[in-house]
Amino acid sequence: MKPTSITGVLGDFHGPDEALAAAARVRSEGWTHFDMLTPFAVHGMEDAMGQRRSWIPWVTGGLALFGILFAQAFQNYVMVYDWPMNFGGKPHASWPAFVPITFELMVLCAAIGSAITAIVAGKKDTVPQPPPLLVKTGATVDRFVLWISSTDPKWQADAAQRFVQSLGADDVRLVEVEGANHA
Amino acid sequence: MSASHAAALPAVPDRLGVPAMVTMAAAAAVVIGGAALAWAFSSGAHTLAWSAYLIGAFYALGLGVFGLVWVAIVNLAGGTWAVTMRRVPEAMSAWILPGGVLALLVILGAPSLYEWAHPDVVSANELLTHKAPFLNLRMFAILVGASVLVWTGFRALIVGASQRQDREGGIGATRTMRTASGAFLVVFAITFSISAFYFLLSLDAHWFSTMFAVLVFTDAAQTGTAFVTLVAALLVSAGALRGFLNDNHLHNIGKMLFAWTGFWAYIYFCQFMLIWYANIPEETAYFLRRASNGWLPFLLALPALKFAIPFLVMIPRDAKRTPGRLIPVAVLVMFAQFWELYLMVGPAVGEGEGAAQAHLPVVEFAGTIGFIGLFTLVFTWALSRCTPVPVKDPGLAAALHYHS
Repeated sequence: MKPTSITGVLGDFHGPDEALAAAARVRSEGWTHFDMLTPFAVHGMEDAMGQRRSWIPWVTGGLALFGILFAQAFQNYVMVYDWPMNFGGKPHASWPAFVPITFELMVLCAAIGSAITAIVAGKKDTVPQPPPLLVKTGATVDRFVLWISSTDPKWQADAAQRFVQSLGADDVRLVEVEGANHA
Repeated sequence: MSASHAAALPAVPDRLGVPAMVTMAAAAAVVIGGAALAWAFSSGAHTLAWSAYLIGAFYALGLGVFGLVWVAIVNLAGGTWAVTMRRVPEAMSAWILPGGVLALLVILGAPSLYEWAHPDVVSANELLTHKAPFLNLRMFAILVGASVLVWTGFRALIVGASQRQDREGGIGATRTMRTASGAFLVVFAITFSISAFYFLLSLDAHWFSTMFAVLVFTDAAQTGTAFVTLVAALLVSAGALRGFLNDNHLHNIGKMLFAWTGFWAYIYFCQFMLIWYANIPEETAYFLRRASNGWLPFLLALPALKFAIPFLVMIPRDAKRTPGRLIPVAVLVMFAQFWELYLMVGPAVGEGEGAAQAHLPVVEFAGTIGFIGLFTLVFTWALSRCTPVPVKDPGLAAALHYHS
């Protein structure tokens, strides 16, 4: 028999409210390496799990500022120094004419940059040791699945299993993988 | 299994009590506004008096009509998050009939405000003669009066169904509200544009702007949302609708105010840029007039008051969730709306030698305060007469569990 190691414990809940209550309990009992896998985005889950606010808005703000500065610099360079043209006798550096481009470039930089940042940042796991494949947990269908990773400082297999059972979860199961713990 | 969704409703307050302070402040505002207008009329400064009256009456009319527009938008979009605070915009719309009648009284002062109200001027001017079939006092009274009646009818239909649902329940009222809301928004777009043309655009009957109707609508939307924000923030901080209205709902209302603030800048700049780019004398007259005779500082202050300051203040998330931070912004936006109406009306009256000089709008401000006070009295009266929360609306559960 090959050696196996336990990577964590899974437990199923049947509704968003139970999942919210469970997440809040897990957090208040001091667990940190846990995640909640749900079939849809449950309102209030970030608060219940104690997740901090995303840093992505700061990226959006920075990129918006960059878009403004870039658009202003580029338009002033092109329209005033590089290739000045006469539009209705207006001065070359006419700020009202630059506003629409500035606005659009601000939106473009901020929106596309935020989307790319969110995709890249989303690849990073929220838990040091990720749960098994989502489709194997039932969370893609109708289950609200709690995952506690064995990397948690409080981890003890029996205690963790009993704790998840005490939350009222069904089908509490330890996850074993072949080979050494890959945490 | 899902036990808490079936949990008992939080205790519904029987009626919303209006703090005596609010009633007294509103009554004091009415007295101040009435006194200022009476003084202006009795001192013979008719143009000043009617300008102040027009600014105040149109300001308050915008608040009242937008109350119904808010309800219609939310009904049509299926905005269940807004169910618990629906009585606020519903009560605002109680102003439509009295406010519409008061606004129509501007017709009495039309000769002091509108060039086209003088038959001799019209007959001597080809352009005004050409516009006379639309721009005459009878059509003003008929079209604006009909608009007010149509709004009143839709108000009775939509708000009536909402309050009937409190007693009878059932999905029928929700369907009625949704259908009527769709029809109302179409009718509103046309009728409110016509009202904007008569009350404000025709102050300078030679000038035209394709952005004007949408600008006046945006003004009403931004200011009306500011008033909704103000009331909702006060309700949350007073805990008057505890369990029904919390910072999640406030966050959404704040986002609406934030969105309208950005939209206002978009529209106002569009109007300016189109005129600046085309550089046609008939169009540029509007901004040239507002850049001379001392009006320039008033014009330059407007984007700061109505866009830059509220926009920057409302960017952080907490600024839209905390009553203490939202209330000052709402008050600033409401003041900025007065500023913009003053900038629309003030410079437009008088021609040539008699061109209006910029001045501190003391009488105009007092008049507007008076109208807001009267509006507030009607609003609080309407709000205190109904169940504070639509207790049988199908969207109530979603509103109670709303997170933003």
